[in-house]
Amino acid sequence: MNTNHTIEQGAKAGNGRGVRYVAVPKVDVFENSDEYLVIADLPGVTKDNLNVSWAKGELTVEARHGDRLYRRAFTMPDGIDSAQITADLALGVLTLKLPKAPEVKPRRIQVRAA
Amino acid sequence: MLDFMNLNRTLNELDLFRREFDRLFDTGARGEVADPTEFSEIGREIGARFTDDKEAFVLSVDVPGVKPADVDLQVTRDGITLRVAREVAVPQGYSTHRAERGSWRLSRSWSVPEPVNPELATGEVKDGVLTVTLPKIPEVQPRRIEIAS
Repeated sequence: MNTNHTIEQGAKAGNGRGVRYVAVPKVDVFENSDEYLVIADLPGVTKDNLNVSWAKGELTVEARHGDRLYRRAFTMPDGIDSAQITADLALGVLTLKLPKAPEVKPRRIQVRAA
Repeated sequence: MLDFMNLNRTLNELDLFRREFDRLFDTGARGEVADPTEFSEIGREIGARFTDDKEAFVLSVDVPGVKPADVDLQVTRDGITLRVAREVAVPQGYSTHRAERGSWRLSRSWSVPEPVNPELATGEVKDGVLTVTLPKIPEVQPRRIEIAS
């Protein structure tokens, strides 16, 4: 994923009940040949007040903690196998795995001696 | 009460703190904070909130990814010293597109406006938030005197 492909949306939400602060969580994004990893700091968030959604190539993370609303969205490159996205929340850190679809994964070609 | 000199100094420290966590470590920076409500406004900058629930002072600090073993907390009658270390590493075999989270160290002392009992103080890390409860020493809590008619 190129930085140019990443569109971050500023926090637009925050009109929900009891929300006083809208926070943009800090995020790391990593990639290998099989998947993208999106890791977000969401202190105080439990899975009951976390919402991760995927629509038209855009990944959105929204979470509540007390009077804080965390919100962040990324436009991901093409070729994500969205049915296989997994989310894991531990110690206030969200780890999202976004596997690449088989057609965009690099294929190792065996070189034969002529 | 927190005077303006102290407030400015605290804000400057916090600004420095945000930009240079590492450099602040072990400088022994001390924010003299007399008013917990004012503190809670300032402390939000570093994800720290100080509240006074009459019986105790409660400090919450955002420490995502931090395990209890990474926290060193010392409490006296007059305040607390907190040291937290968080390590974030690039997972092996991955390239980095974005790295905002980072490793950091936090080292900070806070004074409490009323004496607290270190023996009864508790600390807990849950869902990436450290909560420290500092029960006040009962003698200094106001006692309501019934007025006989």
